Amino acid sequence: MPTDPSAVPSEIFTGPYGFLGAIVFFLWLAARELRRARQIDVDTYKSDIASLRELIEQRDSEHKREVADLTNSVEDLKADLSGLRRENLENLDAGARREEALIREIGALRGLLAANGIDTSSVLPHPKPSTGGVPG
Amino acid sequence: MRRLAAEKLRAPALPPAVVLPLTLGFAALTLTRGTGWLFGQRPGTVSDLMLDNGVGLHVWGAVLTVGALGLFAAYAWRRHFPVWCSHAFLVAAYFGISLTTLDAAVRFGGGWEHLAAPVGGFAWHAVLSRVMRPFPRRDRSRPRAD
Repeated sequence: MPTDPSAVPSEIFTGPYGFLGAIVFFLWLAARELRRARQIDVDTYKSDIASLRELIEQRDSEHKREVADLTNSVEDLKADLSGLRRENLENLDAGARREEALIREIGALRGLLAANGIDTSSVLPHPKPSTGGVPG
Repeated sequence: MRRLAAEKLRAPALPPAVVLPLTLGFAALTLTRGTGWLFGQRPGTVSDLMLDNGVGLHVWGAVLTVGALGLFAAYAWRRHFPVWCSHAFLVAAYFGISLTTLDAAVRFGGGWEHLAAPVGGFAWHAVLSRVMRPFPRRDRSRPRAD
């Protein structure tokens, strides 16, 4: 040794104090980093939740619009269907009236032929009244 | 899985193929020095004597041994925080030893060459612990070597 060992003081705590100070510093550093990491995690979760909520609201509005469109289509189809039903009934009525007129005309012709001595059973069969389009 | 764990431990801007062998090699040297001091090696330099006069050379040996073994265990476990803790513990140990060695060199002519090992160990582990940070980065970005 370049120096006399007896000249070295017996109680030297520079190193231990430095060691303990460094440990305290690293504990403080780890605690700070932990707080920051947690804050970053919380911010990330919050932004994820916000974006998910926005996505859910967007999809919800899209679904509502689709439901409204479908409801309008159903209403239009109902209106078309009722119109077609009304038209069908009107057509049936018109057909029935025309059939009755034809039957009356045939009856008149039959009477005219019978008046002239012609047997109508061989040329004109008796018309059967229509059911008006209704089966049975 | 193992590849992901290795990614977590990768020191930024320092190639892991270089950093890991150097770190483990330095840890082996630390373990050698620590077990030597722990199991009765007599002080051979002024700084050793000053370390022995403080809390005892065997205490510093125990500190270095625990730090080196902890570093080996943490690297084997492949977890970020334990690796950082081991590096930080060795930084603190080498900081204390460097302070004593510096004191020995300045006040008692202990020789500046004895500062190389503790200051080198302090610098190496300080750089790694500074670059690693205690926890993996949350934004998955490549860490900067700042």
